[in-house]
Amino acid sequence: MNHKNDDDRTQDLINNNRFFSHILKYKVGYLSLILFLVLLVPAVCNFWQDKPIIMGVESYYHLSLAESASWYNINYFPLKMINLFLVDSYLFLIPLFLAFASLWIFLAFAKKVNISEKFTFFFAFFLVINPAFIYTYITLSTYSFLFFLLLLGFFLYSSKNKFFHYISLVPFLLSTFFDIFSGIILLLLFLVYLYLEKKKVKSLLKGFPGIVFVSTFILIFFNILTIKIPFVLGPFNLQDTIINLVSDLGGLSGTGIFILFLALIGLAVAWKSKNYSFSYVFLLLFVPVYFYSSQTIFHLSLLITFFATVSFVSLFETNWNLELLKKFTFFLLILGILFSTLTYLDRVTELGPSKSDFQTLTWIKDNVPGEKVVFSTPENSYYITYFAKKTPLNLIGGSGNQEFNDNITDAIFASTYTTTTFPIFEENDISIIYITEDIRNKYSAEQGLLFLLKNERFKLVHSHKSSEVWLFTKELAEIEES
Amino acid sequence: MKKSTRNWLIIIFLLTLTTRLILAFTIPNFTPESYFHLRQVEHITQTGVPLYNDLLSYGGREHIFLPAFHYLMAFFNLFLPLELVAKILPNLLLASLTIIIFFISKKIVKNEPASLFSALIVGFLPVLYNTNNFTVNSLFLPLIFIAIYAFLNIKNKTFLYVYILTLLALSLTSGATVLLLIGFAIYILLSFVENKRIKRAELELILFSLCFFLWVQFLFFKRVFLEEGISFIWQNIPPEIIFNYFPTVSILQAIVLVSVIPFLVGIYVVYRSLFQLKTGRSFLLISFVISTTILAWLRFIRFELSLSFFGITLAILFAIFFQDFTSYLYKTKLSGHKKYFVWGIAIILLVSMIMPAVNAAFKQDTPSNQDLAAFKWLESNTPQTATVLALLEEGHLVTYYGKKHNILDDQFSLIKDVEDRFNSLNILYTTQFQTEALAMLGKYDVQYIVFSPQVKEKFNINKLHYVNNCLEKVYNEDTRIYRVKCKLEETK
Repeated sequence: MNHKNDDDRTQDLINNNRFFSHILKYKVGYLSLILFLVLLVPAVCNFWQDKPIIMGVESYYHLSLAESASWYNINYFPLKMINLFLVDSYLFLIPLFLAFASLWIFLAFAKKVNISEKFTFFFAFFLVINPAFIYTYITLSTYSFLFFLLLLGFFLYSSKNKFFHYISLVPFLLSTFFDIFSGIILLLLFLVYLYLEKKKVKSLLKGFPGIVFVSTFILIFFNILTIKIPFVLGPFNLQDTIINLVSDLGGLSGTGIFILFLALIGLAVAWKSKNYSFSYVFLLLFVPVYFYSSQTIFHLSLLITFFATVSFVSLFETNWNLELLKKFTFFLLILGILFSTLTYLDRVTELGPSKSDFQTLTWIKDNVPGEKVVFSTPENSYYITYFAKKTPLNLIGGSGNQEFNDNITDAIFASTYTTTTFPIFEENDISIIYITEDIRNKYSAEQGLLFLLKNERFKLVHSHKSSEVWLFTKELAEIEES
Repeated sequence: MKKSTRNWLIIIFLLTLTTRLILAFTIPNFTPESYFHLRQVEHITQTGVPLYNDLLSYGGREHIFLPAFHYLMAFFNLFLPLELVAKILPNLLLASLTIIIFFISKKIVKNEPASLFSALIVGFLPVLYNTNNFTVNSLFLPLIFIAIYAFLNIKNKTFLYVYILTLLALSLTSGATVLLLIGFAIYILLSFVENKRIKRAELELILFSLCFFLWVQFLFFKRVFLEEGISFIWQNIPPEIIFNYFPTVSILQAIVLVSVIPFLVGIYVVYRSLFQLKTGRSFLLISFVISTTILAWLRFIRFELSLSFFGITLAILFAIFFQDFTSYLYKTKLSGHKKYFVWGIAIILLVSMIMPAVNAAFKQDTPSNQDLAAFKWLESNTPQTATVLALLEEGHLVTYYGKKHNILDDQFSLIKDVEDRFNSLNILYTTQFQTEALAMLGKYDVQYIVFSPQVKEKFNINKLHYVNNCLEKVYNEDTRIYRVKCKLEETK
């Protein structure tokens, strides 16, 4: 018995579907609306909860650096200027602007280089509802700016107008200032672009493409040697490769499980097509780098979204023998993808800094004078720098000996005896301990540092909800001596 | 189907069912984990919804589980007493495997006597002889093999609907449905490696199954995934006892549990199909054997379930062997004695399987009536809000019969301090120090301690070391129950 029932009468889900044709026709509007919603929900929730609207450790890393940036600091002086005019509550407008600009440039660029409308729509749709994308654009993130610059660069480069074509060099060169990995991506993208444009690689060293390629190359080396850019900026969160990859498993961002599932099918589909062979080059680069630093989840999620789109379009463009299952599968996938996004949006506002972080750290700034070293988890380090204006013991993703600092942090949290713990505090000049709800949840109150806080040398000087400030005081003998 | 075959099949089914029911009713009570499911079924019968917010387990917690099995049992509980439902229905479902497996084998080998042998093997597979185990596996196993049968008959539209309905039921019954999906993935891979073309309809069905299963699991377990991350696979089982759930099994143990003949024959068939004949007819089944082995080896599925699934699949593969064997026999001078060979195989199979099966049934870890009396005593003789310390295995008895708070049972999911609780429980039964014990009893607000023969056996003790003025014996049979009279307080 054949189930291929009435193909002619069954309306295709993607092709010749009135509903979908309408969406495609107004795709810019619909995608912008979705983007607006997914980025505005966290901001509005934060506003209602009275917590800082801009989230994420990386945001405060950049803001801390911008505060002390000099006029010649190309990376941070612009942010410093913006921060002078925009108070903290409005800083979310920066990534929001970058998100919209990136989306619109991407759609215009896709049209210009004749990427199919369906592919463009689904890629953009899957991308804007991807947790990694959402997280990148609700925080002040290097990669949101990088993505914008790369898109702008390629958009201008593909322009037939000579001026715009040449001016593309500016965003291209600017994008090399973040980290070495970004520079490598630019070079690879440029090669792929030329390859897809059917330009011979020989032409690479001639004319304007040659200038772009060589100047990018030189600038990457210049940045490595002079401003010592890292291979990958950060990481600004704890490294857990699997959890950070799949948002549905509680990762900071990552990709939804359904997109990941589609991407796995996409890998097989793309393998058969010569047009997609370049994507495997990126896969070979992005996967090892992700294992090196999960900070690059944004890049990997772009690639995952690409493969997911390949499979999605390919699956639903073709006729199925079991037409009924095709519809079911389509809706299950769409529901699953949306479900992952909604789940993420539901919990993203739980990310720090919380209201009590802000309140407590501001209290430290106002009430604890002088240069002090604050002990807390590495994830709190840039909140301490930015809000409390104090020096954290362990800067996550910062310069210095990260491993050494991590070891000290672990040793303090696991400390059993004051005789071993107090010397660590004294050697590192730690005088403030900042305890948050996360720390209370993570560590037992019956042992380690949280237990030692009962010692008389620790004084609770401030608390707000579950955030606490403890002072580590000198020994009586030391006080008498001094 | 020939009339004689039908009669033999009915005989095998009835023989299996009768044996199972006799064993189930001979052995008193149920396995410890059954009491969790009994409680859920009871709650559904009374209220219509599962007990997701359990005020007694762990002193109050949220359960997240797939409820299809419990609803099915609750439906029968409307007409029959729960104890009867719990003894008859799981055994009926598992006995029905004989019929399902007969049809799968027949589909694959197109040989009725061979398929009857598969049915016979499944009927007396020792690993399935947990006759007093009231768990979801009794529904899951028949369902998964119905799904496989429907998948094999996908050309027929009726079976397409059967498959979809079974998949729906499976997705709502057990997360172990992933066995089916991984099996499909390996089937695709094997076919690709062997250059065999997979039917388009099969691929579409596999894709749909994956999406559907993922979707249902996410609807139910969203919170578990978010809170436990990748560890959800191990269900938050404390590391100290994870080996009880995912043990390293020796080949010898596996042979005993799936029976020696099906095991050896199954391995032989897998070898021949993969490396010599390269025929497609058994590829799907071999894929399931491989998926079960891999998942069990990686400790992704529980040992008991993986071995059950493995054993049933090997039983089907036995039909292929039997068919090949009898075809070979026809070519030899012994072809005239074929009947004797068939009877010979049947007798060898029965002899080698019935004893281990009965033995497996009697080895079930069920509490005695005396043990249960102690837990029943708790219900009417202790305050309603009391917390009772009992073994991990007895946790559900405290909540089911005693209707009191326990500090630990085998539903570990979403319990943050499960490791602490497990360690505390062990310490409370073994510590020599009264202050340490009182501190822990205070921490979990324990008012009663159950000291059962299982405690004696497990910890090799005859009494609690800290029994003195602080513990009052309030129940004194084989199982003793103590009331905690003292409390450790900070000095002012």
